[in-house]
Amino acid sequence: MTRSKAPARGLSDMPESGFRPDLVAIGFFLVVALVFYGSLLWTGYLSLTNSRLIPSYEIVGFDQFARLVATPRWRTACVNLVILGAFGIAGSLALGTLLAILLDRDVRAEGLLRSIFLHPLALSLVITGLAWRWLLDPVTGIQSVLRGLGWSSFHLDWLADPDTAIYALVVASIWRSSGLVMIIMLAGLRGVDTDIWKAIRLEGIPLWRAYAQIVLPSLKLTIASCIILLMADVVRSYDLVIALTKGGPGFSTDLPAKFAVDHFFGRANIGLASAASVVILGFVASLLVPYLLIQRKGRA
Amino acid sequence: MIGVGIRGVTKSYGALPILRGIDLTIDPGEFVVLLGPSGCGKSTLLNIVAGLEPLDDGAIEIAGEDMTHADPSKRHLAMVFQSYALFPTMSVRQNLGFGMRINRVPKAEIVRRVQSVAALLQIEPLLDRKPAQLSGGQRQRVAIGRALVRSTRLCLFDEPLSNLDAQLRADMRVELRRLHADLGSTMIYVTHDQVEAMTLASRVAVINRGKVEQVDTPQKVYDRPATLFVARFVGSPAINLLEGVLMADRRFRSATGATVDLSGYAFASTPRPGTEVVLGVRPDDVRVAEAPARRGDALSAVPAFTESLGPRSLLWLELDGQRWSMYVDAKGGAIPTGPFEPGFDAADASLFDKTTGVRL
Repeated sequence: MTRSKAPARGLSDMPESGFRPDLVAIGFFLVVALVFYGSLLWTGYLSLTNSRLIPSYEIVGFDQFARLVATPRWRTACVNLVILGAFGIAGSLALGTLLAILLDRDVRAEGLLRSIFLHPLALSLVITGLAWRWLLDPVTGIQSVLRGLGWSSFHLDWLADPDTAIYALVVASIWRSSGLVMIIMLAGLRGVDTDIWKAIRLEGIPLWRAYAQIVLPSLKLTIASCIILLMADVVRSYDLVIALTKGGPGFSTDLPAKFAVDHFFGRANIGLASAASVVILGFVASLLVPYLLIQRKGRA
Repeated sequence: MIGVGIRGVTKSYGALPILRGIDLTIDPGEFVVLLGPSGCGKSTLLNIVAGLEPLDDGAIEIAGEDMTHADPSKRHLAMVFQSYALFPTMSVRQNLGFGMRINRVPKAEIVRRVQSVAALLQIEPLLDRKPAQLSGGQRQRVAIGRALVRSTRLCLFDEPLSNLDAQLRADMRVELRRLHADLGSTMIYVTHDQVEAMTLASRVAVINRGKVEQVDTPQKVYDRPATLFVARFVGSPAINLLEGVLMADRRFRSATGATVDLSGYAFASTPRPGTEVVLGVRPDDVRVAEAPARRGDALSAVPAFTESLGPRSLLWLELDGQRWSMYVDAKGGAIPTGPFEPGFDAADASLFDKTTGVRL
């Protein structure tokens, strides 16, 4: 009698294969929960302690944050983040959009140009940084080439000057990111209804006004996506700094991410580094604000 | 109100000919519908008139001036598009006024014209909304409004109603007729919908494969189609057709030997016996023969099935291997059930040369 149960089993539970999709997913969630959120919480906790070389669990409140704010190097890093963010994002957005518009206006050899401009994105940031370090190096780069051609007074030593080194980073980051903006904006421009263009021509609207007042405003969600992607790039731009300037000269091109890594692993100041990390987390979280605002507006 | 002259316009995309020599004169104040199946070149023709596409050969005259190479904005015309083409980030008011702002029209004049068009189309309550907040019908009104603000002298319509549902389409048809009557604008309207063509046009130009097949009033196009294509394309249910040969005594003989007396038919020229022809009769003109000839060579139809249309029914027939249809009174009860002899007035029929498709 007991054996009669066996044939009643459905196809849905096949114990023979031993494959349980839910178990696989649980494993994945556990890894995310432990590694990602666990580390996050632990870092948050450490930022409230007096940890130095090794983690200590003695809570000292917000002392580390106070010290962080008082550290000139951290303040420089934050100012640099703002410079890199403002100029880098504005530059990439402007250049990328311009390239996309030019490509959209039926330039010849679009495929070739598209891959050329997109190419930097495929390169590792370390290579990008290295390439620009050579280009901007007075001895090996653009300066020596132009002087060799006879322009002996030409001067380009941004990397050597603490006041201008951060702008070398800005240039490299624009060079790297504008291809991404271009490709996203090009997709957006291609999506504009051809009838809208016909109406624009019929009304005799000049091209620049058509882009400035009709086409680009209608792509504001596309532009917002670009900005969010670029902001994320800026906040975590650690490798570009390492490859291009190593934070120098002095600490003039330091960025928050590099500050945190240096203090974690180089300067053995886990408490301060954790505080810096928490602040960076705050920056990242604030990126979501415009995104949420747009989403909410879209629903209204 | 301005006229439009289309003179020998040709256009091809690469090796593919789209327009093969179009000649059409549109008088001031006319409502001309360009009717044809998709891909016949009617939208291309409209874009060429608007200057939105270059032509290969020929000329476009607007208001008596040669406008073949003029910029679209200089052609004194406005256009309404299938997808409405409203500027999405601007309010209705800005959509209506933007073109005038670009062209430096004084502010007071912009306000006045926007107001008057908004009143005409009853879209005043919508003026401060964005296009995304409007329904399809409202968007179409705004699109028409934008065209009217620009020009009331010549308006081009590129399938403006095809994105609307059936009820709204019927409403907008009436609206367009009213606008045309009120404003007296010259209108050129592209559609593949024959109902729109029939109800709106003062003249219909039927286009097929880049050629104008017939230009006439809607009734003429329906009653006396100039070609076999026009006969087939216009009319729903489709015209009844029967292939055969023309005989010496102005009789038509089908492949199976049934004959029809065509002595009442108004031939365009003296018919040549032996010509292979196609006979066409509108379903409205077919009836049960009152005085059956009872000859061996009379037409004979077998009822297949009926479709009820409310006031009357459509009776589908099997006639000489062809599918024919005719209307029968739903309430009269006189629906034939067995084979019978169909009749029609030869004057109402159409006869086409089978090889050229031209009306005889």
